[in-house]
Amino acid sequence: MVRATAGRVRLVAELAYHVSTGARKKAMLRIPESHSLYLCPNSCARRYGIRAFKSGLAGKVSFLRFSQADVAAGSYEQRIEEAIGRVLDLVKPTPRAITLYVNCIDDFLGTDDVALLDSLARRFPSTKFVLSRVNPIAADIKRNDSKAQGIHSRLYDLLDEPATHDAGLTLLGCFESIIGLGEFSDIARDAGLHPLRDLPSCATFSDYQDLARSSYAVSLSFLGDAALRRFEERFGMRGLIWPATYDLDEIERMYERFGALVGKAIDCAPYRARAEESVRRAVDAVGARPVIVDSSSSMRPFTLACNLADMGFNVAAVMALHVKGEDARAAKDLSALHPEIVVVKREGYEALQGYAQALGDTSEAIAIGVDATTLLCARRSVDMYHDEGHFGFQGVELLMEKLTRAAVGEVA
Amino acid sequence: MSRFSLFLPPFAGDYSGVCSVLFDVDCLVVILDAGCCTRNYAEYDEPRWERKRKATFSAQIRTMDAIMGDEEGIIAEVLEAASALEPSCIAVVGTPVPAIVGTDVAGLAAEIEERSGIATLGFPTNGFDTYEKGVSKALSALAKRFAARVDSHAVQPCVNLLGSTPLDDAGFAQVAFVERELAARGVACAFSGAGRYGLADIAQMASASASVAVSWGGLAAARHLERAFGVPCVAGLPLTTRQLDAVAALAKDASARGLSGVSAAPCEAGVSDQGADEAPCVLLVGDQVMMNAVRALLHERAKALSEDGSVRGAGVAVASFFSMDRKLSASRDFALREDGDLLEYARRNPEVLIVGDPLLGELLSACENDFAPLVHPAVSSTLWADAAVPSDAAAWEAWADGVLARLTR
Repeated sequence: MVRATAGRVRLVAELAYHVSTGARKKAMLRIPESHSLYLCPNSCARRYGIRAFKSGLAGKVSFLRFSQADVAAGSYEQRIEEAIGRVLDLVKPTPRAITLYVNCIDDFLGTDDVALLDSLARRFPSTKFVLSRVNPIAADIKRNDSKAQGIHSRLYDLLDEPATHDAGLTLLGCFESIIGLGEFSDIARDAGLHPLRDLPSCATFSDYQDLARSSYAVSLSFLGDAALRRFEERFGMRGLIWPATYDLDEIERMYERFGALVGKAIDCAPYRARAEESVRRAVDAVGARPVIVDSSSSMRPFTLACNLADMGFNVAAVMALHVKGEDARAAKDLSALHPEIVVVKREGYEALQGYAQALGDTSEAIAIGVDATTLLCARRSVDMYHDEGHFGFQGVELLMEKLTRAAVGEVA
Repeated sequence: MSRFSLFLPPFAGDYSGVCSVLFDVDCLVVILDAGCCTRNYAEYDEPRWERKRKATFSAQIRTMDAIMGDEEGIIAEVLEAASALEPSCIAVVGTPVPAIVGTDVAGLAAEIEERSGIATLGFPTNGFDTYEKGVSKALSALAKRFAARVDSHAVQPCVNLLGSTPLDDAGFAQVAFVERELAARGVACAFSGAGRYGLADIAQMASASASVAVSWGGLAAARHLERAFGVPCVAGLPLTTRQLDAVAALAKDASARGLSGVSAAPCEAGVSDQGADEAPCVLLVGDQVMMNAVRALLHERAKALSEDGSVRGAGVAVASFFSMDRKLSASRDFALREDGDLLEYARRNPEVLIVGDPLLGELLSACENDFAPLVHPAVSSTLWADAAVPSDAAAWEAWADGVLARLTR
């Protein structure tokens, strides 16, 4: 039996306790002026239906709730065409595009999505269609082109080849826009890159199409990496993979690479100086208090743990329960360089029994991320989810501010 | 046939119904899913999840687990967890993928029971069905497996309140009110679903003086207890003083007479065809049993108010997106397949006041119908978690009077 390990495929079922992120408003990344149609059993899309109301997207999301009889008889594909006909009849203004989402069961039904999309294009020629798979069940066989990458990449499938390119920069792989946050936008503007574009900022289908007009693209997380490759191939953009990191040297190196990409020299020394000062303040404030990093806080929790340990924080543990990004190398580095840091990879019945055996007394620890905060009942915590809103030196400063506040007992 | 929903979200699934019933039972629950079904349940259908840690886990099955049908990994994990947590029982809960690949959930449960020595229930839920079927399956399974025959029924009158979950009654406000009112009438509660229950408590279901199915999900268990143990049952959440008195009288009568010959249905007024000869002026949309009780309440208040001639009629129909029991249906009641059905009804009957979850009000916002909200969490999850819901007889009467007053305008 092989247990879950960071960056490796899990081979057997493993019980998992669910830590609720219900209080967090989750962004629903979507194509503007489009309609989403979920094609699945009743229960599978419940969270999307409720989230649509929470996100002000009611009326832009519909559902074809399959019956078992239709699935067994194979007639569900006919129902899909009927449902799309009803969406196009009833939704006003008529959507420019329809995004179809299928779920885990489709992996076993074997819907021919190419044939389906061809058929829909013939029947509804003025509407664009794209099909995405929300299938966590396939996490064992699609690690290198994971479901999240697939969903994210397909959101850009409807972009047309632009007539011309401008000096813009398109950011990929984020659910929350970082445009206007911190130094990155200023540095990009000073380097002559304008406008900055990303999907969360698109208000119209035209804005969306403009994502393809940029000359440059940056992927901010592993979610955007596959899309970046497609942008390079389809639109000839020059791209850079730049996942969130909290290592000041690495951030400086990334700015150097960014400068090389756009052909400009970039001076980020003032920003680095501010970030260094914020690190000094946070290390002083936190002192020897244990810090516990979880995999909900960062796409690369081992990298984050290594960065924090190198800054001088007393990193006690990494709760690597759901590692999303590629972080195997940092996991190896962590175990080699910081063997004192405990790595927790399970959230089964331990979630009810507590983690005292593995982690000892955590009552004074600062938990970074909702998993660690919840499972350890931490009194001091840092609210951070998949690095969203944290990028470059600004990301370091923001995290340090949160750690400083958590050290004095504020929920940060 | 598949159902299209243009506006309304998918409803709480059957596995959520099972898990909701088992939340306060000393039971290790394993959901056979990839993770998302557990998320749907915990984050959208279980308000208690934020406040209390419950031994409900996702099995995190993956493609190869499903294709190869290799359940050994799941069994090993369940056995390890059971060894650590020592639950009174275990439940294995199905979801869409096991339903599609034909997982033998009952067989898996039997294997776990054989190897753990702990009573294990298998629920072949499928995620295609809605919550009330899961509530029904779970309550029935508990009643069939653990309710124990006793020589004599309870000395003190007591009732089972069957079918109350946060999917119908978010904060258990309704069932708490009924428990309180019955206690004031000298009737205890053997089982209600609201509170912590061990297997010994569940065994007591068989010893109750009467069962009250407070939702459709409670009907099957109530009927089983009646067939197997002679516990008389009625359907309907008692909302008014008269209804509460009737339930208390039934329990006391059954307790005094040893159940023999007891037959009563205090909420049957809600199922009668009173007003059937006139077009409905109110349509109640929700759980059938709950809405029958509301119908009885409206009839009762209309009758009380009509003596001074202030209301015009009492035609009330019940409709539901969920399961309906034919025996509990009046002639004008009907089932709704999808949100378009309700829209069509509303457009054809603009004079009808419609009562239902607030999301239905949004669905009908372009229609002329008057609308009165009654939160139904199986529809709208926690979107209206803070909304006030009547939770005692006076509040219900005031609510009903308000609805009836709108009819007179």
